[in-house]
Amino acid sequence: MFEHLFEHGGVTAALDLAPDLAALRARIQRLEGAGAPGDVTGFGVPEPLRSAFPTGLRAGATYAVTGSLTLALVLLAEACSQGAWSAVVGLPGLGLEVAARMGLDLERTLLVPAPGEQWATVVAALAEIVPVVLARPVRLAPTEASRLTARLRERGCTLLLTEPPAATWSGVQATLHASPAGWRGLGAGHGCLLERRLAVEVQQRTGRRTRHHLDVS
Amino acid sequence: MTHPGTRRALALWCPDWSLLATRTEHGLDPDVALALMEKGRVVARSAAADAEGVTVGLRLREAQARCPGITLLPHDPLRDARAFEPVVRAVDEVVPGLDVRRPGLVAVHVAGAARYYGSEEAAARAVADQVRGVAGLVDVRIGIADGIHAAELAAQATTAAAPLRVLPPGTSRAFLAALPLDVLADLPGAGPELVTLLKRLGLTTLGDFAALPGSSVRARFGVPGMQAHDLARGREVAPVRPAAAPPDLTRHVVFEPGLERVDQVAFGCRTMAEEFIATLTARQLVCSQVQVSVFTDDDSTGRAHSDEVWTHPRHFTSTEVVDRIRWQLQGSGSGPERAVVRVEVAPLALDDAAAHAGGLWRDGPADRVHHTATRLQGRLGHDGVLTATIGGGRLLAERAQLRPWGEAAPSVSARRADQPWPGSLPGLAPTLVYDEPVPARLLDAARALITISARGELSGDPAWLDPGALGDGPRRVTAWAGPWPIRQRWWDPSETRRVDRVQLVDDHDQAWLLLYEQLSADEPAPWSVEGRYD
Repeated sequence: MFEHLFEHGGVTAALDLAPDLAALRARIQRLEGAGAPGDVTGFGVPEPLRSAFPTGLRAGATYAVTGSLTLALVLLAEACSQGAWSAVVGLPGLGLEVAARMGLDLERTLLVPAPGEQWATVVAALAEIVPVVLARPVRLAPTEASRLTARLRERGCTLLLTEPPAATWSGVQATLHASPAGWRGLGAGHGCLLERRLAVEVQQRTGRRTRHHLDVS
Repeated sequence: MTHPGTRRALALWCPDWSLLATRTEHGLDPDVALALMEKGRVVARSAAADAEGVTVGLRLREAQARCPGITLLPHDPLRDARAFEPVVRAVDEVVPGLDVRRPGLVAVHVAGAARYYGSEEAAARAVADQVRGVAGLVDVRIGIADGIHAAELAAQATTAAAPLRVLPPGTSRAFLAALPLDVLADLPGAGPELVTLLKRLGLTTLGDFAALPGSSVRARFGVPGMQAHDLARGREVAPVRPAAAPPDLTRHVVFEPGLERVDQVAFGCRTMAEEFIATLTARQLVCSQVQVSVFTDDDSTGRAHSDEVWTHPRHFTSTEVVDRIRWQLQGSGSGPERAVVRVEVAPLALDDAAAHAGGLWRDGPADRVHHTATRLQGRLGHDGVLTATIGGGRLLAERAQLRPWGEAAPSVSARRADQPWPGSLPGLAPTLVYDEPVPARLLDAARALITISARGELSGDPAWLDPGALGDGPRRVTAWAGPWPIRQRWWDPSETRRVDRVQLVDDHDQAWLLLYEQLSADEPAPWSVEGRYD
């Protein structure tokens, strides 16, 4: 139907719009729940990490983002940059101001600061409605962990964990470990913090390790 | 002369309705000096305040200066309208087909009622008898004339001693002609500017104005002037629009004997909540704001023990209404010790159900988010699921304003985000913010505690940081800046705060934001961690 419409507008228009159309079709398929979970292009990652995640973070996978909350917030804001909803579980002291400055839409962010005993239930319920959840992990029984992983994969919800999960949790796609690599802007008695440098080591499930540098301002 | 198409109308006017409604709600005495304020000026005042010289349009300070004991309350048009509804329903029982012109004033075509009761005076007496006593109403004025505007002015020309004024058919124009031009000032569209202008042209009464040729008035003053001119000539501009009296949508449930447990009360309210929503649904309405009033048995005053307004981002279902009742009981802590005898639910904001109908194919993402968030709130409590906005303020914990999911976002001016906040943090914001600042120690090279003088000077250069519970032992400071002074509300001794902020990086490459607050001279730990860059 669309091709037919564009015949009137000229061939060039149809050529220009081809990638958009493909993306829209993929989105419609995703909305309808069709297609295998693996073939969906995931959430964008910041440019310096692109080489480690050429297709972005996979929908439905779990990533451990350790060492720095800044990195976790960068990934969350990037994943929601297209207007997606997000949720933050079990992080009562999260700096909302910095999250908002990184581009996270607070109006579309659900905060569950104290899920307590119901951590797994809360994450599973949020997986139904938001495409990405940032959470501080708790200790889960192996059966509970695998049930949650299955639910996340089925719903296409990406889970970012701020700490390495317990060994019982088997389904982590990749671990991103950030270590501080300096600050810019603060001197001896003058200036203020303007930029932070992070060294990020990505360890994929396959065992492949890569190193990256990320500047956050 | 009666203009063709102008019908006999009855106007029922309750003088100072806003004052009466406010008094009833706040339980004030009629002789209390009371004034209602809007945008810092008096819009209505009671007789007692009038006697002290308080006039409409006065500023707040002037009103207080003239009458020191005056009670000043904000003017709330919604409260006026709510309180007027019982009056409207009472009139509707006697004379159907009402038009509520504004709270305190209803109009109705009187021809049918006059036939039924025998005469227009008899109809007016029937209406007055019916209304007197409803909602504490004593002073009821009625005017009957050709056309609604003339009837309204006739009602306003009555006195408390002679509360009824009937202008015989054909005399309305002569009655209007003698009135001063100021009565046009309240007219929508015309306003005080038109009145001032006409007065400057040498006109003093409506009769003078009506004598001008219509075409000249239209050419000079446009449509608003034309409408005012029509009114001055006794023509009906806005006819009575008959409507059914608003139904009473408030529902309540009475417990006899009173219930003490929250879950019992919530269970007992379930049927009432279902009926409340079913009534709305039957009228094709949805409700996005309710007021829940809980009465307990030791209240001899008859006033609500707790009165809370709950807002919903979409519209309430019956279970959500029950949830709000439960949260209110838990929040007020009235559950265990006081028995609840009555729960009342009143809709505050209604909307057409058609505007909220679900999509044909599936609910939008926002709807699904809302359903799940509400379900989680049911599990974790009202403040288990939050959303945030960044507001104004200098301290980070002040700026992040959290609210339970479903509550309306504060407006930009309410959260004061649009104002400059000198002293707020420049540059990067920390990723971890401590609501309760964590005690820490900042030391100089000689390991002595650094202090900040009254002039805002550090006693030495920071060299060591001991983050207390957040770290293991002192760390060397590699870079720092500050102190940045924050002086809050220095004009108010009870609220004043004097804080200094220091930003620093330690040798573990961790960055910190520290606060220095000297509460008393012998304060052992003036330093605390406000936030951390993780």
